[in-house]
Amino acid sequence: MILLVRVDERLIHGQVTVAWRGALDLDAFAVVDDELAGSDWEKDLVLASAPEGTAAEVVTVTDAVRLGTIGKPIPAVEWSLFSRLPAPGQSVLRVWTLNR
Amino acid sequence: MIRAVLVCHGELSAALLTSAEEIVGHIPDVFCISNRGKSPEIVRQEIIRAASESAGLSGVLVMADLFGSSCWRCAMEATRVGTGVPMAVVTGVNLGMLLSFSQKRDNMDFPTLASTMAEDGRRGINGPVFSSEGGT
Repeated sequence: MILLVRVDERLIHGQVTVAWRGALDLDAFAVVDDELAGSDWEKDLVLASAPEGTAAEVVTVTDAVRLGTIGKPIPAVEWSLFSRLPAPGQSVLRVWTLNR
Repeated sequence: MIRAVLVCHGELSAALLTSAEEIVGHIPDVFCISNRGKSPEIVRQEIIRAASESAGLSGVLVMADLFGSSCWRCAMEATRVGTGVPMAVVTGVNLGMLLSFSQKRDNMDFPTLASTMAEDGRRGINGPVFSSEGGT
């Protein structure tokens, strides 16, 4: 179940892993970013930020849309979703569904 | 000369340097970077700028406060970009690590100093030592 969608170019970071995770009892994080999803090095870097005991994935926008619309997260856990900041003029929805 | 770049949340970088200098006096060639109010891109650029080549620079040790944090990630990304100067990133910077850096930077080669800083930072964490009332 998606509990939180956050557009934040810091991706998985302290405010999310400490404050929001505690408030919402999050147990998994999905970072939505095509560029990161295509780079193993960057992906590993981002995933290293996930706290112990949580699951984390970096997924493409296409996969994120599938997760959101079909409602079948990759592992059977709750997800929170992140993306980088939208370009000027882009809406959050556009970032979420069409572009990072 | 080996340079230190401190990359921390809030005022921690500047506070660490100020506190260390109260103990050992001026520590040259230490750059302090805060992530407060800055995008990761800005922080990354500041690290790259601070770690860029200048005369006599043989290495740059980037000390971030928190493993997994955006500060750490920016530092790691800066190493990927490269500045023409060898760079290493350690996390968990504390006063002991910075003091150790100030004392050892002129006596070790860069890779040895980087490893020693990580070790000295760990060595600064001790305890718990419980009071006589005890603890379990």
